[in-house]
Amino acid sequence: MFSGFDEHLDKIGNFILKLAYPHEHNHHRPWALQSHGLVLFIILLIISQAVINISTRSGQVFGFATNISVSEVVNLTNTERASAGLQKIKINSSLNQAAEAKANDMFAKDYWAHFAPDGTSPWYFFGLVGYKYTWAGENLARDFATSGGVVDAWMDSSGHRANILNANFTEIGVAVVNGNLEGEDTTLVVQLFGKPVAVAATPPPTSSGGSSTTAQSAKIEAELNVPKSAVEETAPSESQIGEENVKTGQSTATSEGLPIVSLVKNSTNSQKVTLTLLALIAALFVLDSFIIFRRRHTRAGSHSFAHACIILLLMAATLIYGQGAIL
Amino acid sequence: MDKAQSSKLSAERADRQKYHREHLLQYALLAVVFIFSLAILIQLTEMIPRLLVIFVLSAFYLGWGVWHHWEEKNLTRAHVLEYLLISTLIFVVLAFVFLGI
Repeated sequence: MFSGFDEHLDKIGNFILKLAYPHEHNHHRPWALQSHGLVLFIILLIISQAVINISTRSGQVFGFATNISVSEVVNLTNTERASAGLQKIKINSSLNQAAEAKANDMFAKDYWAHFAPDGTSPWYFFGLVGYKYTWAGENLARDFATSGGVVDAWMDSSGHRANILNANFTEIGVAVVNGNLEGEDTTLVVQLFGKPVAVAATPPPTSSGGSSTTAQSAKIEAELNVPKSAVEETAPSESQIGEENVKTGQSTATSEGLPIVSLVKNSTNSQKVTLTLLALIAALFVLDSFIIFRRRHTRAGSHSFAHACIILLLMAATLIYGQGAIL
Repeated sequence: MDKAQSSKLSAERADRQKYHREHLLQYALLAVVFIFSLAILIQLTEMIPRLLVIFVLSAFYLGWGVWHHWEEKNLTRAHVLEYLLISTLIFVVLAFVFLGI
């Protein structure tokens, strides 16, 4: 009754053995690692990239495309705030416009800094869209692949983390803009925080350090080394918006020391597929070289060990993509 | 074991050591060139220089494989084809990462 089923299982087993394990029935070279197997692998790699990029509407067919969205950055920011027991912040369309104006200014004047070379300050853009605030903050990021990668990098940096977890902020604006910065195609992420004047009349929400007085705020600002001259040049007068508390994430800590798990977690789908396929072929090369070495077998084939090492380096290069910088 | 056998064994051992030493040097060269090239690729921002480095690196691997098997005196067309395919894989993956094509 089961003989037909067993026969099928045997065939499948033999096929897998020939595909992945070096022995006499595949001339001591797994099919997957023979020339036609490698050709199929390259074709599969290219097609998988195309399918993922088209299905995610990334705007390109091959290669790794960034996958950062405004809503996801806001959601992840609120998740971090919720974890710290803070209130969620609301998205504000004026702050979104201000963030976009800041990103466009950075591309137009070709700078990667909170302050433009001509001295334009971060909070100039708040005024540009008519957003009057009592508290304001700015985080910047570039060259990341995913929203998770951006927010994780900010959370790993004390200055940016302080902005995200500042209980005084009630509103947020985010812009994700592509362009050419310092000669490189770049995705800039600008995150602006604010607390509008109207809300300032009410007491600040419960906070860890959020019930800061003006003096405490001034101290934070001093610790962050916001250039004093620029503050004096651009800070609106007290009669206009009341007390002035501006924070910019100053630390430039990038994703140093991030474990591999975090790198994989914050990679795009196309990166994950490439990593999986490369890991599969590298594992087959490692297995092949190990078995051939153990058997002291001499065969008419090349050294899988060299191929395995190179593919592991390619995996490392794939993981590098999307590890941007923050400011 | 007579003297002739003993000297034959020691000669074989010396040959094996020389073979492993040469292999080690060849693999070290491969590792250095690859790591150095990846470091350069990370530093470069322009597309054309990046494309050139990726092409040279892929071609280097093909050249390295041919040289390696030429030294071992077992170079065949199958070897050349296999290294050519791995070189193509190197080019494709690095183009995905550094060129975004």
